[in-house]
Amino acid sequence: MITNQIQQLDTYHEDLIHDLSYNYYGNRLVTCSSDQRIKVWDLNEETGQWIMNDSWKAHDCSILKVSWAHPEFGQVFASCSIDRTVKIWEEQEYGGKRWVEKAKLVESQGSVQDIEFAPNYLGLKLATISADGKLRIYEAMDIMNLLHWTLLEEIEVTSAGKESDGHYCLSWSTSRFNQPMIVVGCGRENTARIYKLDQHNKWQICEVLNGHQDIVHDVAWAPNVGRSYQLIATACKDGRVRIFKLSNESVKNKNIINTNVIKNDSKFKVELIEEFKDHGSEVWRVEWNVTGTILSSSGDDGKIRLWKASYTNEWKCLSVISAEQKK
Amino acid sequence: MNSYNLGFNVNNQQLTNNNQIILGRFNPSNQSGVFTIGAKDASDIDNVEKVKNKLSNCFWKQIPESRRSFIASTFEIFMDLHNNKTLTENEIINDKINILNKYSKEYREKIEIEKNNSLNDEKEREMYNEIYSIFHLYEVLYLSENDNNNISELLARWLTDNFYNITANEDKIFKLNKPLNNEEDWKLLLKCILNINKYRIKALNLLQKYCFNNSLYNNKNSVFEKLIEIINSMPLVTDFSKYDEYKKTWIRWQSKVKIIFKESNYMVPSNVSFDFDIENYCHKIFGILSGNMESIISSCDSWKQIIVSLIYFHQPETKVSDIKTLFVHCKDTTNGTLLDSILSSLFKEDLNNCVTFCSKYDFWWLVTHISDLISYHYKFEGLKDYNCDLASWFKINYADSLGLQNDNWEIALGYVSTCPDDIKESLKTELINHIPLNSEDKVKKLILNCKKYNLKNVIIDIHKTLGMKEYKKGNYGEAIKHYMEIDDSYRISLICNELISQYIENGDLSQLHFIESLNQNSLYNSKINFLARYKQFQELYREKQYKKAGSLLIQLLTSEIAPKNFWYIILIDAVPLLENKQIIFNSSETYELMRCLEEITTSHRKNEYLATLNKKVKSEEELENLINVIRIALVRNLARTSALLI
Repeated sequence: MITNQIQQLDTYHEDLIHDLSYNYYGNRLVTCSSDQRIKVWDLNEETGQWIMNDSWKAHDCSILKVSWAHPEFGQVFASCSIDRTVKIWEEQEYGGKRWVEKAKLVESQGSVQDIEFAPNYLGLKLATISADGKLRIYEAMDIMNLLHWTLLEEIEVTSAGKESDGHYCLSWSTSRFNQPMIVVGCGRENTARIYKLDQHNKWQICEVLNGHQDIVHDVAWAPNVGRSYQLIATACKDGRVRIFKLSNESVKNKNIINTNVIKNDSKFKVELIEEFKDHGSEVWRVEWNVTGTILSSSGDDGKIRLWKASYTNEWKCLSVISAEQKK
Repeated sequence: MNSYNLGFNVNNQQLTNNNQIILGRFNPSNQSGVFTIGAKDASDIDNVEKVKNKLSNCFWKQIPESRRSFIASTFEIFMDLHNNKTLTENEIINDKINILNKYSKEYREKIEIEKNNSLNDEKEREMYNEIYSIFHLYEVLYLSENDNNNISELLARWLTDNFYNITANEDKIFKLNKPLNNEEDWKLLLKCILNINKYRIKALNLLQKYCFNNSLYNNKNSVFEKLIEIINSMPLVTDFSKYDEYKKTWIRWQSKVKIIFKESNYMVPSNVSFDFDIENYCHKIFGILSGNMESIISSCDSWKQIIVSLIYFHQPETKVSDIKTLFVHCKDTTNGTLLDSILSSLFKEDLNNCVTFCSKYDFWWLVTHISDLISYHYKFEGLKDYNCDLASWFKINYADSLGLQNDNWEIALGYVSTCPDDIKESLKTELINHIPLNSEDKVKKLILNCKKYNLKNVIIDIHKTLGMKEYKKGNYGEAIKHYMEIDDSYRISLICNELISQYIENGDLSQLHFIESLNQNSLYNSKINFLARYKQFQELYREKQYKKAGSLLIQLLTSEIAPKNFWYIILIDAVPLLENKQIIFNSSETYELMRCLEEITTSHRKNEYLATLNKKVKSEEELENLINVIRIALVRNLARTSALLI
């Protein structure tokens, strides 16, 4: 590697930071914390410094996740909290407050553990998953005015009943060429499932990602660029990072990627293609880069690992970023 | 694999015990940025705040700024190559090879410039040197006209230029008045002999000086005299118009050398004493020139030199496909450097392995460009499960590594545009979607590029994003223009509704200036059409063109493009026209206005249609009075028209 430059930023959050999210252009960042505050940061492109844009108390409990909507809907992001709510925030050009709470989604019966906006071509939709074991999909009624959100779908993802401390996570498929799909980490069931919007516009379980020995902490659907198959990564409490491969069974035709026709009847072949034990302790997060070529994973060993596949499909650890003190 | 340390003052155990959270996030527009979070360390009270609040931006695999001009200039060559139709349309392999040779030379020129620019950065210079030698060898072996079979000459030139240049110290020896008095000088002479294609004169100089200093001239039996004679008579490729003739002369010359080599007794002048074996050097030099395999192998200091010298002095007729057989004479190719692995796989015609090794360089440039050239004359083994070929896979990775800052996005996009159709769109979409739309020029450029690459979806996303940006700033007209570009009638209608509501609420039409810049074809949207015509009515009224203004009002109502909650405004607008001295509305028009008034006042949705008006009056009675004013005006106008029979 050529450069090893580390720039640090003091956030002045008064408690643990749970999540951070870049906007689509990587020039804005939002952080959320157990101090119940959200902070927005803007990148000064000349100096490379992050400047605080705003900071405010956003929820009544720890804020667990933040997720940006596509900029075609404006400067909009959502936050979710242990206070059981999801809030939609929008930047205002005028008026006193920079960031205004446009909507508060209160349907959840437990802490809301993960949120993610759908790919923009599906409209302004937000998926949430809560400790009550329910996956909810909301849609903005009027994209010009985000005050009203409709609960389109409420899916019970766990058969184990309500779990106050269950751990759930979700990630949308970004492929334009398949029906909308979401992968969901299903709490104590030690598994992840893929839900698909079927021909009758109903969300149904389509595949199960088996092989986890403990709770699935995080799921990440890889952007599909140039592959004839899809990849999903999971971070598991059993200390493993797993990569699953989904190949389209019904369409072996190579033109699948280039076809604008949505495949309704696609059936997938699911294979566990990689299992990395390197963290050696609970793995908390997995994330893909925008082209789906590099995967990052982070775990209780205090390290972030970057993984990349060679053209022969061998996965290798590119880098280890460590929070350890140098000895 | 690389390890980075974020320098947090915590250890693993502390992180684990404190339920720490650490996560990596990729910056969407810069593949090199990763943010991580440290957690609080409960046991270290003083350090709590520092640790838990810190984010770290870890730049990894950043392409140095100094490479920007190289990346940009070679991108131009790359695009030129891909726009060269002769390459794609011409099936004659030799024509293709000639064209590729030209591009390879252009790449080398640019690498050469960077070699010279990196004089102060040893690592960079080393990298460019290596890249240059790889390209050069590839060009010699695969992109040369083989009709002449002058491979030995080209390889000798490659070896000397890339690995056996004269150093500054060696240059000092050439300047000595009395050289060849110690072993270093003889080693240099050996080097000159092994690279005789370039250092023939230098070798002669050394020997001549030596003979002169030791009074060895005119002694035909002197080994040095014989050496000078041989080297002097060595045929030069530049002296021949036809390569074949040169080759024949060379073979004849070498036969003579062989005879002399057998006869020589390496007489060392009696007046000179050496503490090293000069006979051995003389033996080697004769051996090399006569093509003796043993002499060549024992004189070379690298496998590259062995291969090239064997071809040059021993088997000048060797074909590229036969070079691999010479590797039995080399011992150190397998445990050499990455460069050695690449060069030896080129010699062995193992192009798959060659690109695999090239991909191990930190800089994706090399593997991308060499595999791109190779793909025109060699079919790589297929990529498992990928919808693209190997060369495209490297292009994707190179584009990926460039990031989207500055103007890199244009370059990244260019590389991706040469990939197969199967993957182009999804890849470009992913890339372009993350390019910040932070200046008008950039947006124009971006849209032009999207049009060039036929990326309709991306253009739609860009206009939607910019439209929303303008809308949020309150520039409704600008927002509508963006939505019109992509025929987004849904969003246009939403904004028009907002504009209509604003007018109903506070009579503000200031946002409608944009309509003047629209062409008539754009008025297909009924809501924009209504706004445009209502604006026109206002203007006609201001210009006192009451007749025209009146008929426009009637049109707005009869064509039903005016929303019903706007009708009362139109009716109120009609009052001064109804009261005008000149009769503006004829009886049928007046009836039409009456019908509209009755339709909204007698409807079960009356409250909805008159909601804003209701807000503006204090009581129901006042509202009724207002409606009655309209009614009276209508009735009076009807009476006037009836009296005049119009």
